[in-house]
Amino acid sequence: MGTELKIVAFCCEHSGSLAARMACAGESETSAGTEIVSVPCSGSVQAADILKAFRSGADGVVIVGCHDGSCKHLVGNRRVQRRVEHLAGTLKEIGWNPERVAFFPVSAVEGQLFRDRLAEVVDRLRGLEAGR
Amino acid sequence: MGHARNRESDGTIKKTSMSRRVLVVGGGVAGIEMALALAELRCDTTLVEQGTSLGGNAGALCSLYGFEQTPEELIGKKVATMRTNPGIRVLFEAAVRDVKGDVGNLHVRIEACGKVHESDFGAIVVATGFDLATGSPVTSGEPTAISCSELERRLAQLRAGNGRGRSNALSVPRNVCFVVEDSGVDSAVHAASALKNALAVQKLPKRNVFLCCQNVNVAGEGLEALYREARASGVVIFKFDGDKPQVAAADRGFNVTVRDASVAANDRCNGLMDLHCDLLVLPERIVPGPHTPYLQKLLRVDVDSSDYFQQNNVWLRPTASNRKGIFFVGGCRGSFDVCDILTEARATALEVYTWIGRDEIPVSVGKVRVDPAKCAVCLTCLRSCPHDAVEIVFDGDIGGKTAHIVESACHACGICVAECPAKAIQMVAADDLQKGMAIKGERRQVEQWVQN
Amino acid sequence: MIVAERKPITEIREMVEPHESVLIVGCGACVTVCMAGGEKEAELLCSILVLAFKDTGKQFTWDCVERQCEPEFVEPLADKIQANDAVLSMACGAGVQTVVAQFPSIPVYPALNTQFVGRPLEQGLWAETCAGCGNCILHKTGGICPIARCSKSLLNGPCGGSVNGRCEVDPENVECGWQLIYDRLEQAGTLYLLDEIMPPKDWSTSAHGGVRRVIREDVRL
Repeated sequence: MGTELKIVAFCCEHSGSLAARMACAGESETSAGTEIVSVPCSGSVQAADILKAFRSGADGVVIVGCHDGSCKHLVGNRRVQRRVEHLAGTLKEIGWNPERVAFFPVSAVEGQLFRDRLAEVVDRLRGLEAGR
Repeated sequence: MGHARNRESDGTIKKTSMSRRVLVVGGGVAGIEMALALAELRCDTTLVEQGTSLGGNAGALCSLYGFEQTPEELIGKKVATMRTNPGIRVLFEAAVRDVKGDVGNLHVRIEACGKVHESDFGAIVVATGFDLATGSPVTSGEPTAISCSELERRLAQLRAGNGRGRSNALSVPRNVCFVVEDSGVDSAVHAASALKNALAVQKLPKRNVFLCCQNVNVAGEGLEALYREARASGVVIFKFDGDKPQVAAADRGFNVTVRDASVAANDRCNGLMDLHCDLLVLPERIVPGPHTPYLQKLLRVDVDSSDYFQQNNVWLRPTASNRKGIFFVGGCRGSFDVCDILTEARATALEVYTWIGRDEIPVSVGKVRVDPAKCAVCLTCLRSCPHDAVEIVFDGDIGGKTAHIVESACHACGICVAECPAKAIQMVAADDLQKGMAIKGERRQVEQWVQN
Repeated sequence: MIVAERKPITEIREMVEPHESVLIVGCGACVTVCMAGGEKEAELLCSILVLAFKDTGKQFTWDCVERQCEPEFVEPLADKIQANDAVLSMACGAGVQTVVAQFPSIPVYPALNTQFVGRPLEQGLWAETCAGCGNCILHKTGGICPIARCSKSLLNGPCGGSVNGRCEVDPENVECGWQLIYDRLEQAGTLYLLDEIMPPKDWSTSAHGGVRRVIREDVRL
């Protein structure tokens, strides 16, 4: 079932992107409104990028990186998680629900996990009021 | 789903000279074996040891399971071979003070016995080992439980004195009990050490040995055989589950109350057993070596959640690090079994040999660039880079200092790009514009769906 | 360097609420280094306000200058400033006032709270170290400032609230400045410096003394 929700997913090219590609195999079941942006490391995703995604109309943003301890660049996944936590506070201040941004880790072969996590995000977003 | 590719490799090979010399930090079994293996491959090797002799933790043991020779004999032989090899230079009472320079030419300053040695190395192998920490005492006052290390010392003394004399009975008395709790990551080593020593004590005349352990972890070469030999020799092994054995001082010895899991399961009784022993032995905990934090800072490398060097990252080969030319071997990277360490050292020596044999280090030029005009020299990129790929240099064009990306060390992860508060760093193939385009591109698609 | 912090978004929202088009201006000097008002923060604040005022028609744009306290760097913003109703400056107080001085007829709002002169203790953590008192005595106190690092700015030793090297005002976060001074002098073997009793401070050289100026006649054009 397609959805009108738009999600931008910043995916680490070592894990998220590969898992996404695997998950793509069953395209009809996945959220058609998800844009995958491949990045060299989840740690390269800035707060400004997340907000740009919202400005371009995204309802939700996910950052998909490597599991703790498995980042090829050692600390990237931790750095971006800190940024997301900080941004959550800012979103609250402007009346946006901080749950619109989420980080979740996958490994390159966890296509099913990617799909499950994304489905959780879609469910959560559907539950939120539209627009905010 | 739409896909937006953000990276293209634009690799051009850059020639970087490589120093053919190798530095080994640490003179325990790992360092010794590395030096020997490298020497066999005709590598110019310098080994630095903080103490006045070689051997490390293994050298202090009474015996090594799986080896016929004593540690003293084994290490003695290796050290003798080292001495005859002109390709190995050993510095005692030495410490690494500074490491600078580019990949392939790591400039290291070493202080040894008050003298300073400076050299360029193509590779650095860290083999600084682990440390042992005794737990808190289980009983107050006398008698006190002893550690496995202390037991090894006593056994070595007995062996040296051929077991003669009254000191025999006092140092390793008749009834000896070991208590080994599950310690997670290093439990195999504790089990092995306890089994080895239990067997050694049992082999002495008229001894009764009990071993209470939570998990008989025999996940290691020869440990299954060791376990069988220990039991066959008469060591009584109890396995407890959950409830720790209770220990109390009693009768110039100890009372140990342990609940054996299998007895409790099969018997109507509660499985509790009271043992009296004259000597209680508790293994020490294995902890990261004292030099690990210092070297971590100096070499700009990472430690994992257990504070050992980079042992569990799926992207790094076991003994390599994220910094090209830096390797970790042995106890400092969480490898505690002597057999494993010797194998690891030999395998790593081949890797090191392959590495320093290169004439060129493949480098992608211009992936990540700092704009000197925007750079505020705030040091953020230098501090955040996980690969130590940033240096501060003088830029003639702007007449001032700027951050500069060291291409041979850069992995193009983009972390510095994200952290820079002046937006002075751009990743050529993954800049904001591209990310922006990727998002804008999809917007059209979304609008179409909304209309439909 | 000068350490500042961005004001809470709620406060900034109130400031810009009455205006239809706002220009956010960052500064490439101190506030870049302390992560409060550089290019990155200016771009980010712009996006935050765009989202905060989504669908209201308000326009937000951003720019950043080398150093906002220099008129030569602020002047080129003239066209952009004239095209907007208000300026939101992400510089320290000095930068904000330079913009006002250059463009007196447009409302200029401070997006930051300028805090202190300080230094980084670690990445992301800055501490106050200099109070700008105008009469430096660091050579007498082992290089640790009693004005800035003693909560009471005492000059002749700690008060009774110094316990285990911590200051009673906030034991968790604040070390006793005088404990630090004592330890440092002891380490250096110069404890005798404490024998000199410092008289009551002449605060006329500090911010308490009124508006201050520094003049170098020899470099004036």
